[in-house]
Amino acid sequence: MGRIVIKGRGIVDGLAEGEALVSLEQIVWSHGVEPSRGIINDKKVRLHGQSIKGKVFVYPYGKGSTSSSTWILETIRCGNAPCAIINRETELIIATGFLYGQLLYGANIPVVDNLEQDPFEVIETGDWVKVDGYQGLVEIHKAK
Amino acid sequence: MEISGYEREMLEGRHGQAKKFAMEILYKLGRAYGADRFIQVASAHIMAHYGSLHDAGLELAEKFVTLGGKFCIPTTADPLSICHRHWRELGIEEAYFHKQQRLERAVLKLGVQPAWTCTPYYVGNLPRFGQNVSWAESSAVAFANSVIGARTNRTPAGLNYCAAITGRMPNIGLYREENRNGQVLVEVKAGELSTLDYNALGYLVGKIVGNKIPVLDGLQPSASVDHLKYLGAAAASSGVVALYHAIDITPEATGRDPFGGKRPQEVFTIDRDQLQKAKQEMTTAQAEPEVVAVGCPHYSISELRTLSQLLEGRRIKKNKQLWVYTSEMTYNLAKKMGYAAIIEGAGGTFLEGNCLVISPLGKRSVRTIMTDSAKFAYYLPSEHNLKIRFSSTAECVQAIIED
Repeated sequence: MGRIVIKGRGIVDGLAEGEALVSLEQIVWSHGVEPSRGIINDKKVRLHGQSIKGKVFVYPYGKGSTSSSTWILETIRCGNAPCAIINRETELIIATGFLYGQLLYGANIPVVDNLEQDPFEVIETGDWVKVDGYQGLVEIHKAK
Repeated sequence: MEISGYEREMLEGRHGQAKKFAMEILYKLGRAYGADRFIQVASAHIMAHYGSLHDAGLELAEKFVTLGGKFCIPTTADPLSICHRHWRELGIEEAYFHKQQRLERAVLKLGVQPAWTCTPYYVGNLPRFGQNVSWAESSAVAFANSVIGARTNRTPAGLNYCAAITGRMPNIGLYREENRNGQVLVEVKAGELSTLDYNALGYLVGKIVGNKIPVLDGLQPSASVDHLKYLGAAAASSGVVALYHAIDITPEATGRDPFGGKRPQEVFTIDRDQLQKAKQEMTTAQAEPEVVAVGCPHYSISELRTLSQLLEGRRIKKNKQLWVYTSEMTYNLAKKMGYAAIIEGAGGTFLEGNCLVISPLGKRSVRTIMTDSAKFAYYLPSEHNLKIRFSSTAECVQAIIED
């Protein structure tokens, strides 16, 4: 059982830990995630049909319409959001959604990007990951 | 992050609670993204469609009203998730309509210009070259940055409210000159392009470049404002293109090096074959369409003219429908020009101030849509589980009119 700590940039404050869900593809939040169920409903991605609820959701970057921020906020409001986000690069659209979530609904979902090591070389779906949004730290406990 | 006297006063709550709340958000984001200071923005384009904002966005808009907020810069808004004239007959649920009404009332109280369109630049929200604005709506952002040379990030839906209330945004991303240079070169070797080609080209560019800034070489001088609207809308759907340059067409690639003296990180070529393949890829249905939907982004008055010419003296088949999306202002203009009478006389329906991507289908039973828009083709399958036929406006009309 390996334990790996990587430094990155804290975009949104918070502390969380959970099981990683890794998407190598870009994620479209607007129209691509269903807030009322926390399910990825974008048929174009491999994780179609999977639940993001409570997961440490790792994907390269967001894409799609600028309404992604309220799509995220609604997912938070419905209680179906991931517990943390790790991106290669977090778009402003994604950060805004989680920041509003903090101010409007008291959500504690850290967002970290720009890790010193490529997250996709280190984190696999199923790994246990701790995310510290204050320090921009990610701690990975390998499942295998 | 540097903060001016007035900005600090807003942050401290000396200009009301709404400005304080908005500045807190902007300041937090500014610091997270390493902004050196705030900049003034000249206009905002917000979202007020319940279909994407959901209850959370509604609660956010109402929170700003409760806090006594007012938009302090000219602010337009995207289409609504209902059409005021048709929602009831389309079978949109009463409860949904009332949520949308609440959202509409909230932004009207904040002082929005009720243009309800994804093409604010057609109806009076028109920045100048180099001006900072704060817009949402990925297609409008691509247009403002690329075609006009104004400056905006892909401002998140809710964040625009903060910009509209304070007139400020953190100086990050595309507001900064050094972040506006092209990164990858896309050589377009396909000669003269049709409107449909521009859609397909945008779709390919978005797929190829992801979130990089592309420089397109090879666009013809015949490129129209409508063509560039489609190019950006498609590239912002299949990719994260907020700014593209087109040599000798767009202002930041005319008379100057769009790469800012650097070499392109990558070079791609798009030829006629690839455009054809992209069109085939976007067509997911072989079945006959029940409906033709056009106006994504919203049709301009010149596109409505073209549509009316195609429909003049023709009649749409009884079992087929035509949905035309445009702004209320452009629809009014089309009425005055006589285009609306021809289109409606042939059996078409205007859904002004509305957009299919962000609206419920209601009781409309449709499985296959034919469209001339790559953005519709990209979003409708996941949003409404529809099959798509992607074709030119003329072919769309041909598919639904009586012989």
